[in-house]
Amino acid sequence: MAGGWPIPRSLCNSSSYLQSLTDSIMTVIPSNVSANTVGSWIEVTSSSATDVAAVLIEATGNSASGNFQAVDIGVGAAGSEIVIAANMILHDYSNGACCYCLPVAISAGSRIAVRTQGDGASDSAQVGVITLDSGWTDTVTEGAVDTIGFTGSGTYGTSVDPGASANTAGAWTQLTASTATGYTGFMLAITRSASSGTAATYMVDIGIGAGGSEVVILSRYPTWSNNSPGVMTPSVTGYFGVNIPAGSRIAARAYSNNSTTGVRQVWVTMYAFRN
Amino acid sequence: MAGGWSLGENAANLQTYGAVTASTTLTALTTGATNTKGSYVQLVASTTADSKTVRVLVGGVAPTGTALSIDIAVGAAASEKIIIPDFVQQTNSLSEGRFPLSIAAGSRIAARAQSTSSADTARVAVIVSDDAWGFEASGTVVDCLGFSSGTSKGTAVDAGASANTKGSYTQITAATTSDYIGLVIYGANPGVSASTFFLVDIAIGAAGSEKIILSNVFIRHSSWGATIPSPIPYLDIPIPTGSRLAIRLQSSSTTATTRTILFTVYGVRA
Repeated sequence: MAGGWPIPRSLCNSSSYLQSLTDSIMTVIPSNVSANTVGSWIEVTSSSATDVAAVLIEATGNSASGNFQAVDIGVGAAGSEIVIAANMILHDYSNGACCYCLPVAISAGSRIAVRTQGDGASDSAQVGVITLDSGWTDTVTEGAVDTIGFTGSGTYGTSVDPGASANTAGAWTQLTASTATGYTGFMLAITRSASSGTAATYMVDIGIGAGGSEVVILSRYPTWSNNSPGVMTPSVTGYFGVNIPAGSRIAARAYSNNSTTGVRQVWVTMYAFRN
Repeated sequence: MAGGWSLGENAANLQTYGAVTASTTLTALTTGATNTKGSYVQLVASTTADSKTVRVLVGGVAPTGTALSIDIAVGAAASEKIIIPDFVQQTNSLSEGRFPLSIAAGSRIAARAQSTSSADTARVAVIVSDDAWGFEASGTVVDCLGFSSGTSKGTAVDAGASANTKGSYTQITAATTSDYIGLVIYGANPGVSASTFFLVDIAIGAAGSEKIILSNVFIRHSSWGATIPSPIPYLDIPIPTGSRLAIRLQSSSTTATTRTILFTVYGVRA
């Protein structure tokens, strides 16, 4: 039902942090010396100049040792950071990069920090943050993001297998048995095996509901990987403002034009937004 | 100033049109002569619900040309009205562009494409979503700024000969012809495969008095030919009618062919 009282969103007062003007990249955020373990928080700003209604988080892995990194963003005093979005995946293998546009709220004066983990020991990611304020008619501005389906021990998402028949939906793979809270929307990160050198096309369905009774809420989202880098494009979807009730089971299934094991699987992570 | 009356998107009735499940690809569009649009191909005969958001997904299978663009239109065959003109398709990648656009239930959606190579194949799908009562405003049509139909490419913005130093502003448009509720900014460097880093400033205002509205957005051009992010996600930054829009950037490269990004900007009319 389109209609009602349409309100124009308006973003303004952008502030950019961590970009490195001396090399046209962004600040290196070291991961832990141990693979698949978060590193220390690095301050983005000691005090945000304005309220924030949207955050752009960009990452690349020019100096990375591994193939996958994940970025957390938090607010709060040093040593007491509260994560507002976690494990935003970067597949940096061969020139990858990513951009997450998060409709999350941060109060003016907040300290903002980021940290990373990688699938390589002493890994790193280069991260930049852009914040935007809003006008009176606020944007969605959720309070926090829950990461669903992330595999911390490997720094990737949940493996979703299209199965041995090309161009056919595989079985549903559960991302979570029951959401702990209701969500107002979500984004997805979709990657695949670190260095698969075969071009392939993919589509992903997201469903909610009991096993065998999934209701599709996002149908056939396409992504593709070239034969050279193995990097998916897009590897991060835009924001879908689809409400998901508390207690929902969330599952994903996939299609691929390639039926080869190791190529056909995609790794899916959901970022679910809550008030 | 965050606050006021915060509204959620409450998207509903998501529908994907143009996905070809039988081959896990998107609908093929055959381009016309070089840099000339081909015929429209229908993505859906009649949308099942009103739509307030349209996501365009293009690419996915390597075309022969180095630069392509796709028109999204609504309306009966032979009477199509373009609502998103010349959305860029890069080689070696698949891109998502999100636009808050209204499309009435029952609409026919079609697409056509052009390329730097004749009889090329572009690929496209759209995902549309309806809303609940208290949704954000959405536009009705998109203006395409900085795109040259004669070359199928955007406006070249050169970082200049000094590495890691902002070049001069390049005008994307002298004066916007309508108020915009937001922008999608798409940078690409068609036909170039070299790992290069960029920081981009987007500004409005008269030449010499530009006011930056978005600073130091990172763009990576890859060794495999694609630029990421492609595009920068839609941002609800209002732009008044009559605004001059300009872009400048800095690059890690000083080589003329690799230090340049071609920009196309899509403004969503209020």
